[in-house]
Amino acid sequence: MKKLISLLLCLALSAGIFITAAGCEKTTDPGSDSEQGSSVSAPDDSSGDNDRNVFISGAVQLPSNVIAYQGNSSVKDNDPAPDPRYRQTEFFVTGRSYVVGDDNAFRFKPQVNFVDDLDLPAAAPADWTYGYTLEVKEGNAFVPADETYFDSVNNVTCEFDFSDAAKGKTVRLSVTPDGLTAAQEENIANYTASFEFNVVDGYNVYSAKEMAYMSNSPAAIAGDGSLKGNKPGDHNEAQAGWKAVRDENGLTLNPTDVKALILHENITVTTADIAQSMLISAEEVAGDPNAEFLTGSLRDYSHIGVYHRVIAPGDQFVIEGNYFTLDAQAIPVTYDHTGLGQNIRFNDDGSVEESGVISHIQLFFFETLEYSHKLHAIGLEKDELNDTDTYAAIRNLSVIGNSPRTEDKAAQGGLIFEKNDGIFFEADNLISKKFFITLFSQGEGSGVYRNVKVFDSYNSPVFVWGQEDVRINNLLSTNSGGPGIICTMYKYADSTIARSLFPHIVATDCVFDNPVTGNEAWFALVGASMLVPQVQMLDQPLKAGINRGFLKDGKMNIYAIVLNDSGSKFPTNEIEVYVEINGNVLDYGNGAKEGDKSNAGSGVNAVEYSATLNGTLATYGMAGAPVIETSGGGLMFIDDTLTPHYPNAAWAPYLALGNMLNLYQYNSAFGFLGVALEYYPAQA
Amino acid sequence: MKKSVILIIAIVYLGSVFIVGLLGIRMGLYNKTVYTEEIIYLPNGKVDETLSNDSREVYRQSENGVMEVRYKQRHENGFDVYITAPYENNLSFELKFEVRPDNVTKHGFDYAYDVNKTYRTDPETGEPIGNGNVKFTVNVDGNAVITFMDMDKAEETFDVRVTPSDGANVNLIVRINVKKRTT
Repeated sequence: MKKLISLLLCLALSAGIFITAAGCEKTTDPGSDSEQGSSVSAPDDSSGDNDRNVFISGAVQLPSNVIAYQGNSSVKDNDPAPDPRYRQTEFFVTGRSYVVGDDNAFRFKPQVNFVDDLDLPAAAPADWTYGYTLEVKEGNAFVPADETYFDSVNNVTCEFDFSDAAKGKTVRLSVTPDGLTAAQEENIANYTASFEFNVVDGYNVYSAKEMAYMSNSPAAIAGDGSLKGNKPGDHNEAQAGWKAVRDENGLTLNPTDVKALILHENITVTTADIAQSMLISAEEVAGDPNAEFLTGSLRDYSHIGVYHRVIAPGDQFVIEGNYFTLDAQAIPVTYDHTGLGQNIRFNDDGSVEESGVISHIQLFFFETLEYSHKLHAIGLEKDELNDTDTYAAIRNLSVIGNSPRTEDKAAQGGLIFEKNDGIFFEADNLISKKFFITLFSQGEGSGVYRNVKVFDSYNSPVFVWGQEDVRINNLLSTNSGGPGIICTMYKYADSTIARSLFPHIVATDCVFDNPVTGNEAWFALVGASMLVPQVQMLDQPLKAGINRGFLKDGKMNIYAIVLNDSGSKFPTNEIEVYVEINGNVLDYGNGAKEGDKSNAGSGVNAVEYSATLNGTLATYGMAGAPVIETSGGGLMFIDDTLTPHYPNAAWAPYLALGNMLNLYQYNSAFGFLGVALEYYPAQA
Repeated sequence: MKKSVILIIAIVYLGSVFIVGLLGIRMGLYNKTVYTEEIIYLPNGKVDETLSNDSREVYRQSENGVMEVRYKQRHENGFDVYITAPYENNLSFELKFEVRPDNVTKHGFDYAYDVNKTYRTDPETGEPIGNGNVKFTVNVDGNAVITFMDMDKAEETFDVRVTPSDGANVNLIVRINVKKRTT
């Protein structure tokens, strides 16, 4: 009997398992017919079951990327950062209009919620059609626009290719799916997606491959081979490499004819998307003991860039981000400094044990080969440029690089975000993370940087190499491993070598918040570690004398470092640079005269380290001693016993004033060196 | 000081040097920023095995008819989570998320949605603007709360795109679909 009962229980259990496995499913009522759209057989759906009916259920929404734009371009009120400027996803300027290009189709397909008879999401039928209307803004009102505003329209894929007639106009596009029920038609607004935007001359970017239109590298330029990191043939390789990318992906436009790249989604750039000539090949490192680590790494060009744009006089190029993100984290670092693989030692796992690499390679390089505008554009705004000036800009973009503030030595070979040489360049409304350097101005031309946030960078947010017109307004930098601004001049006694350039930088409403101990990786990289203790010692007499200094909790906040880049060639060249930070002037001989204290109490006038001052210092046996100035107008120098001395006793009281301190000295390793530091208030 | 105390101090000191040298402990000068790599949606209901399969997990809240579907790969229609429910006035959803890894440096989420669908009023007159019926708020825990109210239309769909406040390039999209019951 017991055996019989057990057998029956087993049979019952087996039957239950069988029934479950057979897949009895609960069906749901898809809803009343009056609210359903037309039903069609979907070719497939996410459940894997076929031949289900598909219905429109729920309201229509804007495309996903447009919703993302609305969020990206808004204020982030729920971010708890005490200072809104530190919000890492909130742009300084919010709510700017969306931009669409006319070189190729703009995709605007509303999100329609298709469901199956289980009321579960179903694949949108591939052949579903959509109706649309276009209006153009005239004055403060929108009026219907006709078909002349389009070169073509695809009402299945909802791709709209605007014509020249639309260029420069503000339009409103409204798209509605066909096949609505009568009840849905009565509430048509609930099933229509409408969006307002500006149409410009440019190319709409939906994938990283399309970024290839930026590069129009020439086959060769004058000076190839004499530029650091470049050798003859490098430009030819870059040109061929990018042509291959365009050919493989059906990108048939001439890149020079594309005047703007306009993002409509977050774009992630990988090695598969860039010219392969930018990467070290296995063949060229065959036989190298580190070949497996060097293969596929990035080349270190100072004058080409992963993306290289050459701009002719009177021409322009713009990258319009539409508040989306360009993600370059997957781009490899470079191990190429003085020569591939030199000055670098790898661990067995490929991590970097020691490295002397300093990256020169940039994600974007903008330049002109003709300098007809050379001095014209200095101090001007974009609308004041003339027909021979060149112009490039990056706007409303969040960017992520591959070089955060870290002790990982591999990051020394990380990307510079952009470098501009000889053009009028504008960066407006950017958020930058994890770049070796974010903004790099070199050569002739103008660099105008506005509304920029820089987070978590290995080196400095701004590097100026000679450029004579750099204007920075509303920049925030925090958690950078290097100074806020690094600036170098170059002056050559031999005029046949190169042009001499004396930077002129004006930074207003800027926050440089990068306290460092001086032991960070960046200091070791540039050989400044030995200098740090010498600098830090100078804080003691200030604290002792006037209870102010530049060290706080053992850290200093370096606003700027000013160098003579030609120091290795002409080490006795004094610095001739003008740097103004939030109204505090560091005029290194670029206009100020020695001992000019007519503005005492209102700003720092750096004193030329001239023979007169040196003579004065020599009387103390301290020729070449560091000179300290405060933005309040005070001036002193410190001897080797850390005793302060005052060249002019009348200026001494001003040492207690100001919020920036300038340290000017001569060092055998760097030549003349200026360091601008945050000058902390008196300690309690 | 007793000799025994000195001896103990010396042993501890030398032992520390040995252990640190052996293990290679290295004190970092600063904590490297840890960024978000993934956003996870936390469902509220119970798993419905009959509707779940290799591509999705279906959850039901039996008391109010809400169904949540979490897709293991983003649905081809562009969302990761699908929530459907019968409409009733002030129908509310609290969306909860967590991030991977657990030790991200900066916590918090940003939310993006179609602002035209939200209930808005003129800041000067207080009069309603547009025909939005969705109230979107963020509570003190950082969770999104979506409330459908005074809905005169038969149905509404509302997408919420969630991104991390540290700016990492990841996102998760939740679609909520509500319909009035028909008699």
